[in-house]
Amino acid sequence: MNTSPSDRDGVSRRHILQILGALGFTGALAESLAAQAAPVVSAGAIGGAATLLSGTFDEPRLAVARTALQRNLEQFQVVRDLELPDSLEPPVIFQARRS
Amino acid sequence: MAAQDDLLFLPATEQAALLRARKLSPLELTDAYLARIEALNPRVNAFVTVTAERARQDARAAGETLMRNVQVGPLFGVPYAPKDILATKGILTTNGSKVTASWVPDYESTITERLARAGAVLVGKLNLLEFAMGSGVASGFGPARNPWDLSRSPSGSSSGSGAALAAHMVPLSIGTDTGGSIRGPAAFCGIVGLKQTYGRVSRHGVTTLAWTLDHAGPMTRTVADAAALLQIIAGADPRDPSCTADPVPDYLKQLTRDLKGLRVGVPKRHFAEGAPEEIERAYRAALDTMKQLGATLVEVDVPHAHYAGSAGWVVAMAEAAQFHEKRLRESPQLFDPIIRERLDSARFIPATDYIKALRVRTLLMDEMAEVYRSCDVMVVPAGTSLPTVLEPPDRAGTDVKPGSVATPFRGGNTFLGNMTGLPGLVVPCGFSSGPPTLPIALQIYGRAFDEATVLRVGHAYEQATTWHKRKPAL
Repeated sequence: MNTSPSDRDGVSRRHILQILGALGFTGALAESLAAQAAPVVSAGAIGGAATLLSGTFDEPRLAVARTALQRNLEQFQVVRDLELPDSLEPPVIFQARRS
Repeated sequence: MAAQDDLLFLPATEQAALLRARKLSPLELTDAYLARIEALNPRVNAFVTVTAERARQDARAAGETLMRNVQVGPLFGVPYAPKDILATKGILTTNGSKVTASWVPDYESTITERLARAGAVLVGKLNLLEFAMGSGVASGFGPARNPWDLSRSPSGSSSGSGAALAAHMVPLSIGTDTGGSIRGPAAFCGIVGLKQTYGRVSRHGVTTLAWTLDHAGPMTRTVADAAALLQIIAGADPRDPSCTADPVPDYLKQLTRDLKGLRVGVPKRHFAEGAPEEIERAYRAALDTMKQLGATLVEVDVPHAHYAGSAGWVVAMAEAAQFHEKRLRESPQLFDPIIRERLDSARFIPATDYIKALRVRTLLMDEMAEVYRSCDVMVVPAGTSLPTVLEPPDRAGTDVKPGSVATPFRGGNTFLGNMTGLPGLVVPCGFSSGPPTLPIALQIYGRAFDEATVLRVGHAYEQATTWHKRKPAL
């Protein structure tokens, strides 16, 4: 049986959702509340990543990118937290599916 | 001027009928629009370029063709203006950006090529947000303004298209839609916008934002006009590998005034969450109208619809950052600050997040396939807000406002269509009580390559209501 990282940490997101559901919070609100904290992007971390990319960012531009990246990671955290079945593959070549 | 204005307020298909009947000449119609553009553009800022001389030449040629009693198509001789992100040979194509502010392509997009062949008269190129990236004010040529209230946004990124149509400065436009950029402006401006199925219309000559999400499609004032426009631009094109060879049905012929036998899916959650009461009320009233027209309402569920916005944003920005990598490296100072901020930060999106977003895409496609087991179309509010006030420049330069809260589900109502590739048609369904009185819209989602049914539902609803007949006071 697969165990997700959050299960191993002791408090699964699913468990949090169950509790929120019992308290009357459902849907998007519950998903938001249950989202784990996004990683904090330090200046050092983004500086290192910028070096790997190309090193063309000056300091002010990197600072703006860092703030924006932090926000994007916070927004995306809810998707990161979503548990998907192993069988679900990405559509590597995208086409609309007929039904 | 009043009689001339009445002419400009007619749907494009009716204008074309007058042209075919020789009750009006293409040159007269073109001149009337050029006069209105000249009068209103200083306030609305919808046009980046007006091609008056060429338009008059083309209109004269169209008039000569009509005089020879040649069989012509449904929009022959009618003026149009595409979003300025479609390449037009020998005509400035700015992409709404200072980066490409002086670009004059030496080739033609497939869409504008097909429209020229169908006798449509190009009168200019329309404003947009830089490189079609999101909403806000970030155009290299100043923001287009919403004709219903000039202090408000027409949404984006096809901002000029929405504004020009609402202001009756042009009867037809082509927008592009990567996360809602046709449907958002259609909703905010009280007009019709169709994002057809991914692969239905060629994107050759349309500047890329995100390869796997981009669409270019009709923006009009009526559903019949959208059907006629799609008829012309749809179909296989070997120059766009995503474009399919599916047969293109006769969309206009399939428009009816009732919805007998049709099953309309109504999602039980997500799509109306957070919407003001006026939007919710207009949406429910529209569903009642569809029921009166003979449709059966069926409850459906898209359990993960609220992930469409967050996941779609990651796909869009990661692909956009790759597409613009060279321009960002060579001339970052020419990008609008907010667009540079988005693209710079997107370069740090982990590949695993991109792949996760793609897997969510599969999930959404699975869920929509399930939805269409029990219904023919799914109807949702077009969006969850009324047109917003344009931000002052000192606040508009960044997505990260002081004290702002990240909204994880942004644009989910429209992003669902881009993530699944399914067609979505936006039509007006009401107005706020105001002041100011602002448009409200609904969106009709359909099965892949079944634009005919989507258009049929939109047309029947439109003909049963009068929302599309209202005009902003300008």
